[in-house]
Amino acid sequence: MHYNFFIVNKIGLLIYERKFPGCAQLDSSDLIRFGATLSALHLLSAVVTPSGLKKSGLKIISSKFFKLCCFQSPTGVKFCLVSDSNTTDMEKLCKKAYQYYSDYVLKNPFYELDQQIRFEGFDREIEKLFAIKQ
Amino acid sequence: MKKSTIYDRNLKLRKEVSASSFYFLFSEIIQYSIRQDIHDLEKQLEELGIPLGARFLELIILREKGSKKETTIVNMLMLIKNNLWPLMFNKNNCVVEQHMDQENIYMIKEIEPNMCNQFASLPRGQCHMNCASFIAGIIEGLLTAAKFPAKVTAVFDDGEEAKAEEGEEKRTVYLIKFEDEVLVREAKSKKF
Repeated sequence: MHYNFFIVNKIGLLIYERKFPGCAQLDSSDLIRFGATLSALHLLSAVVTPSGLKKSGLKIISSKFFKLCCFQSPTGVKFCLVSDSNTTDMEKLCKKAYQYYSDYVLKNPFYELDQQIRFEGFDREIEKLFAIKQ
Repeated sequence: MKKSTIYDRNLKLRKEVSASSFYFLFSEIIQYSIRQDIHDLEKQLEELGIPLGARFLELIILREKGSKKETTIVNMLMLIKNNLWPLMFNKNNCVVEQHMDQENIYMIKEIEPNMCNQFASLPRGQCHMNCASFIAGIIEGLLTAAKFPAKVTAVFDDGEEAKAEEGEEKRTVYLIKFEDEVLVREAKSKKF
């Protein structure tokens, strides 16, 4: 069961958020804080990995109650999925969402880069993607 | 050992272009048109398509029709359906119909939502501009060059079949309104 899906751009602004049924709504200041915290954590974790290991940044946070998976595209846009602890294959879902982002958002002439995403086509595809996997 | 030059290759090239490159280029065309004049987007896209239509006509007649001219409205529309659509989209998925009340209006209906509109959606709440006006311009250019002067507009399909798919993208209908001289000519040629 999925709780939330976020997209954070490379400067730390939250550009897309999606809440799935069964999850409490976060208020807008919390959401902004989440975006900034996530990108900061991602950067810090790349810095503090011991030398000798590959520095890729934050990938998964798992606990007894939830699992958070963060996938960073080569351009710095982070796709972050929060679900319950026994979900597998989260990175694959995030990668699929990245594909839809590059289609419905980047090829859309009415989208300005690094702004909020408010498009029906993208919403529809994200809904379809996460609904099937539930 | 004779090397094959470009002159030996078949004239009938069947090259395919990647859809993504078309989408990026088209998205940039729309952004350019918006910068010129935001309210007249559809008209600008039509004007861009008109010279293309004339060139398509030459290409189709040379390649596929053996340089024969079409003289009736029905044959011309069949040329658009059977030759132009596969040339542009590699698929033959449109239906040609005549308008019920008015004799000079024909409609080309799409079966699937078309590629111009697939990713170009306006933010929620804004009025809908149809980016398939580009293709309407191509059709208009083709008909005008074939001496069937007409006005072609692209509208979203609001009919009963379209309502069944609420969540999907809307399909487009191209309304082709022929000028009077075309109908007069048709009527005269039918007399003989």
